[in-house]
Amino acid sequence: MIQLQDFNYIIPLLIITIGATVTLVIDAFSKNKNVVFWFTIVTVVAALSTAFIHIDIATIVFNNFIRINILSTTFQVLILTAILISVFSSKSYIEKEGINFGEYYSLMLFSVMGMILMVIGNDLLLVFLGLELMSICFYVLAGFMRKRIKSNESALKYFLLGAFMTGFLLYGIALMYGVLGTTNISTISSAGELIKTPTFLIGFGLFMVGFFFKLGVFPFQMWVPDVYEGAPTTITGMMSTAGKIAAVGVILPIVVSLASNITTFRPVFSVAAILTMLIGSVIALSQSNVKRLLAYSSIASAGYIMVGIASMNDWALKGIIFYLVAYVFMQLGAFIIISILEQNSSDTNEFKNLELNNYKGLAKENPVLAIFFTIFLFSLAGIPPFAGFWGKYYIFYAAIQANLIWLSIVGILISVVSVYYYLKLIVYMWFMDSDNTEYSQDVYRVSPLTNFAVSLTIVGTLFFGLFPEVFFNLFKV
Amino acid sequence: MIELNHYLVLSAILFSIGVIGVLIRRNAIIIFMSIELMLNAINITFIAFSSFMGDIHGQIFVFMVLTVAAAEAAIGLAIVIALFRNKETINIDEINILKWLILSNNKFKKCRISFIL
Repeated sequence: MIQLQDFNYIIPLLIITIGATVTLVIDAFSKNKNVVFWFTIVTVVAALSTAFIHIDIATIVFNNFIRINILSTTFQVLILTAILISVFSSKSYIEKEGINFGEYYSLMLFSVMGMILMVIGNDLLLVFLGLELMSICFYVLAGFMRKRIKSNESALKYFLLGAFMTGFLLYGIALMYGVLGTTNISTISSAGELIKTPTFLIGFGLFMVGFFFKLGVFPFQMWVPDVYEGAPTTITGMMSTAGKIAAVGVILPIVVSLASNITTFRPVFSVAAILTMLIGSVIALSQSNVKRLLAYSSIASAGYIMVGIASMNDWALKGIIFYLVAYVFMQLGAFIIISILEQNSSDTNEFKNLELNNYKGLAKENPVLAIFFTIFLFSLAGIPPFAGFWGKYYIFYAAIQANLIWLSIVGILISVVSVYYYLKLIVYMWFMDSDNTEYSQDVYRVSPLTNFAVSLTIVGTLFFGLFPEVFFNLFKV
Repeated sequence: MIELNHYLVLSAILFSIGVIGVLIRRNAIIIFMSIELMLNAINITFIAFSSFMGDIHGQIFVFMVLTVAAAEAAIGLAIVIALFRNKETINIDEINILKWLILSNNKFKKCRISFIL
């Protein structure tokens, strides 16, 4: 039975849904694009503040379809924070690029709706629908600059590969359904011996493949650099943070609850983790485009998350969640700074000012941006006292607790390799002289809203770097 | 007598045909048709399980899959049209401004691996 008070538990989802629909209507009837923007901000802030209401409650509502507990609440808060920051940074960027359409915000809100459905869904049906809602919005947003071939191309690649992988995910769900006779995640988690049948294991493997694709884990990482390079920069930031958090939010509870029965998967996950970190770190060394460089660095981050997933214990839960917290702030911050520096070239319809060479001498021309970017890069590299350090620390601690000492040693060594390309970018910014004079001071004029977004990310990176335990006091995972 | 296994094998065969179609065809729309074939093969699996277990969940799932496939078709064709307007081709071998795997340097361009696309 569905009771009326069940709706209390999904208030953030309802707010986002209504907000997304109303945004479309406002866009149709209002000439003023600012109204759409501010309405989106109000919607996201309202959803974010209501997400905290049920922070201490653990319950299952809507006929076992929705699971509300501390984990799902944490993921909701993380997703909404990422979206809030991306929306703040979007306005000046889409005005600059000439893509200031109201659908942009509406699609963002619909994708958030999908992500929230994914993390609170207690049924594979709901998880599948949420994943598709998120992905379909992302396909459109990746190709949002529809006059640019790069953007079109990234949308097509993302779409074809995404739909292809959806097929595998669904086949996995079908096989699991065939073995257990249900698609309910709680039932699957407590199914006992049936889980060890080969059909279920194949189904579970295919199911994981679908999410590994969304995360960009090793054999399925091909799309990441291309899509991230071609998509609008603010959307890239959103896809690489919120989208990944939602995917982790689905597989993490399932893996941890099935941990004792699926140890056969542990070597597979470990090898995937190592190869993901390796590919992300090594190929990033030779990139000359900053967006591609950060795309490879996000593949490496997926590798660290995989280390946690391979450890399959409670420490991994904490470690991954804290890594994601740090990741939201540092990754979004880095992409916002790239979006500030990016130039619109109306003649060739291409992205400009994204090469490493364009970052030469940034520190002289705009020290504040250079300092912020340096902090984000240090945090991504895992250098204390920034948040990224604690994320990596907790994850490797979890791996050691799970007796995966070799995995943590290899992971730490690879993360040393990755420091090189972050430092390279920093050296370009601080120790080299600019070789182009064509950009005027206008380039560095940052709108107040974008300023606010950057400040949020920098505060997050520093605060959780200095006081990591505050997060776990608030969210007792 | 047609048993459960017959349906499962049929759907596995259809699914494989879809996968092979995605891997070897070069026209974006035909690739997309192959993906639809995969989704429909999965629908057969769901309905077969659902019918033989006497459980309605699988059939509900099929409705959702059909809906999602329709939404994906709408978005996918729109993306293909947007690309065609700029590029005048939907052959995925020619859609190669963004390099798949390797490096931005020219000397490595030749070892570009075209995986899947």
